[in-house]
Amino acid sequence: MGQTETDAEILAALANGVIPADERDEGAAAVNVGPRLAEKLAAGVNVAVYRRGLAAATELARAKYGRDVTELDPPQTHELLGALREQQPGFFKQLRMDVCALYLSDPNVWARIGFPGPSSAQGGYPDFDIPQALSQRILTLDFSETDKARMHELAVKNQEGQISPDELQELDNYVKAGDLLALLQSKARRALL
Amino acid sequence: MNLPSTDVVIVGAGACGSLMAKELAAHGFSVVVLEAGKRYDPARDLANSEANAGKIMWTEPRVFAGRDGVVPKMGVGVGGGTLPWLGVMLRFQRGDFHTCTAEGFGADWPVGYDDLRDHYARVERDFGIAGECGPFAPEPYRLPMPPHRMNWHAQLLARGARQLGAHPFAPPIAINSTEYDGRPACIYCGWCASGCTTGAKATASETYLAKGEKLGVRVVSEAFVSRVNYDAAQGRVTGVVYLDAAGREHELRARLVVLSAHAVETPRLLLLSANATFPDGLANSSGMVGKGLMSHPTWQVFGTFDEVVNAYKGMQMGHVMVQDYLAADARRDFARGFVLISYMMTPITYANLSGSFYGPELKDFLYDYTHTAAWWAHAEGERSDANAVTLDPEVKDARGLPVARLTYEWTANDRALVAAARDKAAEMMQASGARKVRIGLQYGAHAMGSCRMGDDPQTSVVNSFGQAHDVRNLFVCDTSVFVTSAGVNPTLTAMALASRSADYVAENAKHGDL
Repeated sequence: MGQTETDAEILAALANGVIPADERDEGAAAVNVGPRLAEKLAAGVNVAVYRRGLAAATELARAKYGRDVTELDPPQTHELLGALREQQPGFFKQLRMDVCALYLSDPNVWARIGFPGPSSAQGGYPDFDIPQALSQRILTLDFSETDKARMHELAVKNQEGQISPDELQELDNYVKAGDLLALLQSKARRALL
Repeated sequence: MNLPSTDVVIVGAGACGSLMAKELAAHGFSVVVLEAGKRYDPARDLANSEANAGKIMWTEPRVFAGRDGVVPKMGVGVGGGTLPWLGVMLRFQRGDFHTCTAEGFGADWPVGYDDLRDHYARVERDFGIAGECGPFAPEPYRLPMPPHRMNWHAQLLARGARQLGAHPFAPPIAINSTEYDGRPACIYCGWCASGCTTGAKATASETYLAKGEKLGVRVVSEAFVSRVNYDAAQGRVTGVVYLDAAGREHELRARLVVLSAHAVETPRLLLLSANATFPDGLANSSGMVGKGLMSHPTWQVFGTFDEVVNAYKGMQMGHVMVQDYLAADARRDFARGFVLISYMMTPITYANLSGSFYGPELKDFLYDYTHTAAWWAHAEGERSDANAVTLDPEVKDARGLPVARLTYEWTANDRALVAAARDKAAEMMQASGARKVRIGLQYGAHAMGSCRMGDDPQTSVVNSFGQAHDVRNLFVCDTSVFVTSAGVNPTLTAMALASRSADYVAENAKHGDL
């Protein structure tokens, strides 16, 4: 067994058992849950239930694996949390709530799960009643890379005064298509479809 | 410093207290409303934030005892429960008022649907309700605003419901579908429970209380009523004692006291007001104050789809409802019935209502947020004397007063009924095309019945007008007076009863009977 673990270290290990690291992000650690929960604990928030839970976690880890909580591998941490859910339901519930609250208050996490966050200042969601796949598809419509390169080429020629009448017509068509796309997307956003 | 005495003091600035205040002021009474919470300016103080929701929710300590979890959503502040509420406003069914006679379940109410019809309509008009009465309404009725268009989430849910032969509809909701009464139409921002920032959601503070204040109602916020005073010689209550934000004690004398502090704090206040005449709690000669607390057993049922749902776009609750299973059916092995309501939450609440799983499974669930739909299976809860609000013998609040202790255990009928509701929601979710159905949290929603009404003073606390049997100038006007819980959300019926109480007070005061 290593040195005495701090509250922040044990909480960080348990929090990452609740929301684990994977290819998407570092889990609870991505929003620094361990130290933040330790701060709340030091300030006296839910201190009795946390103290009981942390003591039980340490004891269980040592009894079961002969290790401290921070030394467990992910499957062992998962198993430990299962035991805590049975034996310390009040603590487990509070921990799960607190970890989720911190994780799901982070705008970067919102972006990853696809939640736009506050919306009333932006006028809410006028597209609330249309198929969301359609709304999304219209919003992602864009010119291809080839089109974009050609548009750039034509725009440069135009600026330099070296554009032919046919090319000018072609550029004009691109501008019209761009306007139409912008209008459609604005309509999708405003649900005028 | 004490306020000058008043005709009426009302404890609690929520849906019922605010309605009473406005109606009684319109009848010429001087009215003071005392509210434990703060006063908020919705545009300035409320925000699209789940952390912000904390300030409009009751967070003082309570002790939850008993086997089952009851989590009534309790607001605090001027506006009360209507600050964080989600606004579902259905009339009860005719049969809800006499389940004992008809089915041998619970007890009969001392009022019926016909006594409340005009009051229902008045509240719907004055508060501002949008929706359809639906195919199972107690009678066809029109609401003042057209129904909300179903959001995409509700359209998916309705599809599955129809496939199973049910009749989904857009139920009555106290959120504007059009501009109404000087308040704007909803913009479907999806943050109802954090407190509506636009005013589209009806709150007691922005409707009844705002009008009441123009009629002279005085609202005192951060005023916690700790006791109702009683004069044994007169056999009447004489007013209340309250503590201000600094903990200073004040007395407010009044000719009439109305308790509208909801089904936990109202009985707590009566119990705290015990005296020599009523050693077990004021107006408690029946022993029924706090007894028979009811809740609605509910189950959250989630369904994850291949297609994007974005259920967060829209009103959080009630874009669609199914009432096909609300009426009692003798062929089923349980009494009474249930409804299904669309309910989608902002992310933290979504996680909290999902259950107790964790690890990779939880993380996947969180990342399915935009592809997940949810039904709220909501059943009638049975009354039981064992379920109660009492004063906790040990835990005290910051003022040194004993906190409410809630003891709750579902009855066998509750368990069977809500299980059927859950299974039906899961079946519908599958019919809608969900690739994965997950059963979330089971909990008790809403609190009712802890000072029930009745004709018999031996078995009830108040009469059908909310007037205490023991003390004629003391009224209870909130969900505490419910006799049964019915299968739908309680606020409209509590407000209709309060509206009826207001008429009664006005009529009787005219004759000097109060």
